[in-house]
Amino acid sequence: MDLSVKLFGISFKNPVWVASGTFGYGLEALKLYDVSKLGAVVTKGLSLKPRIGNEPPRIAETPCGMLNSIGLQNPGVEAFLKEIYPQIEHIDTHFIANVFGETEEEYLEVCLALESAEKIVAYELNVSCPNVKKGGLAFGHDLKVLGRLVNKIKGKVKKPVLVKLSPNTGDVVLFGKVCVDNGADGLVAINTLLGMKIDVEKRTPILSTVKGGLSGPAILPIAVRMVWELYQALGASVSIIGVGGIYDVDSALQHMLAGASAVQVGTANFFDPLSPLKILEGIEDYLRRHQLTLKDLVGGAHSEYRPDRCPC
Amino acid sequence: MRELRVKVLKNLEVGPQTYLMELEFPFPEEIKPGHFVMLKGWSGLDPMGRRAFAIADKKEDRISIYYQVVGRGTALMAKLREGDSVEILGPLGNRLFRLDGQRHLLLGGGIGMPGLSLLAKELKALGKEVFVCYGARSSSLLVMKEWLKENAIEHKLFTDDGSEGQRGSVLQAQKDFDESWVVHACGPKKMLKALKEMAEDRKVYLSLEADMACGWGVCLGCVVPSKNGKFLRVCYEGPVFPAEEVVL
Repeated sequence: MDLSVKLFGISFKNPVWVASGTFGYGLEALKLYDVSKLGAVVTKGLSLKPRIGNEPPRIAETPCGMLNSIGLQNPGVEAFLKEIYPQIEHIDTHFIANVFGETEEEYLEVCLALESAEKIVAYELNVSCPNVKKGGLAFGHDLKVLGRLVNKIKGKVKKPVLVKLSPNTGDVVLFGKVCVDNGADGLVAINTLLGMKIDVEKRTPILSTVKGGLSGPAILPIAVRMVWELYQALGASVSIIGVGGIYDVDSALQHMLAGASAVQVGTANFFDPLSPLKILEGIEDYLRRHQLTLKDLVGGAHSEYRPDRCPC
Repeated sequence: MRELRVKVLKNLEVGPQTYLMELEFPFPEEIKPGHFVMLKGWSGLDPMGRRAFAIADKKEDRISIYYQVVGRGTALMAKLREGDSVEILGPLGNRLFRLDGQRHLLLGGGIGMPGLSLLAKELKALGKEVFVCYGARSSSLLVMKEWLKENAIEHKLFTDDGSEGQRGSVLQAQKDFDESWVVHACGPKKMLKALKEMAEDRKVYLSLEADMACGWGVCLGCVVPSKNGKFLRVCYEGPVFPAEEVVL
């Protein structure tokens, strides 16, 4: 079955991708399965300079999920291009570089460094990173700052620019809209939710950074709701990539029916490494059973929408 | 690295809150001393993650692990019966124990001993000199002492409370073995840290334990600081490290 999907001018072999920070740069999984079966690999976040990351403990398990505060550990874009990129060049699927910086210029420089790397077909901006010039407030938490960042990068790069939206703002649609207004080619929803866990015996927070990002099936309904809202408001003008809590075919389909043109499997890679392949098979099976095409799925639940009913 | 659903062949309580589990594993030739598996023995998403366990032994097409009930995941594992199935990913770990050198001293602390037992067995099979110092808080927690006897591994027991073997820590034995002995250790972080400090002038390898979300190198959750200011993944750059390379 043809599951290919064309988004922002690029043809992906299927809509099942793996999310940033849950799959390294695609090399570790080669020992387990053929990574070229994936629709795309979104890399671990890349910055201009290497980052060592946060002190452990960096992870904590929570009900149906986990918290992480890895601290964006990565070798930097230069080392990536020199040491890692040659090893992924032969993998027959697209790579999307997740990019972050402490300043607008850093974001731009990382993207520019990757412009001639053919394997990288698009950039995914991680805008949950603290903005040094704005006292550490995340780029993605200030409409003006976010708009300017997207605008600046779109004006200088050739490849499509996706923005991974933070769910920790008041209204995801406002932030999505500012990205679209400034030329973003795609919206990726959602990044992790800010959370924390306390060790009651020690009476201290578990993570070294106190707070961390919540991911896993626990956040699925929030992610689906945000994809739904983005699709309703902006679906006509931008592609939406769903991420958050996807661990099986049902959760992936929920994202697509809410409005996602493609999905990213994240935390499930940790506890069920073959889940992206199972989801891919499951989508095929679902389409066959219901005699539908991929296009029918995207936003397919919206016809049932009843705006007159209060959700509370 | 394989992703398998395998049968539980045995799940016995061998000490206080301590269990021995035997599992099918049809690829024994892939397992080397130092390897571990990620295991999930319950259905559903809560608890969500698999747990990491050292491979303590392998026989034909089966492996064994030892675990202590410390949380909800291991409490669910303790309920598993023969014939139940579990998900495992493994063998995992890239830097494993080194088998070169003629004389090997193994220091196992508590539930760290199962991290060394396969090494002891393999070294012995290679005709090397092996001596194991195995310590625990108390006699009932020396759950691998029968295994050591059955496999005819030369060893000495230690307990903190003196209820069996010599009173005190396995670390005191280290001084009785000259530098011709390579030291391999696995146990609580406090023990490994003390060993690292007292044995700076000799070759020591540490098999480390850490909370892991993935076990295969991608979550970056299980890191340990290295001497040159970086963070190394216990699951991927380890789990065995030369003592001088890591900061504990």
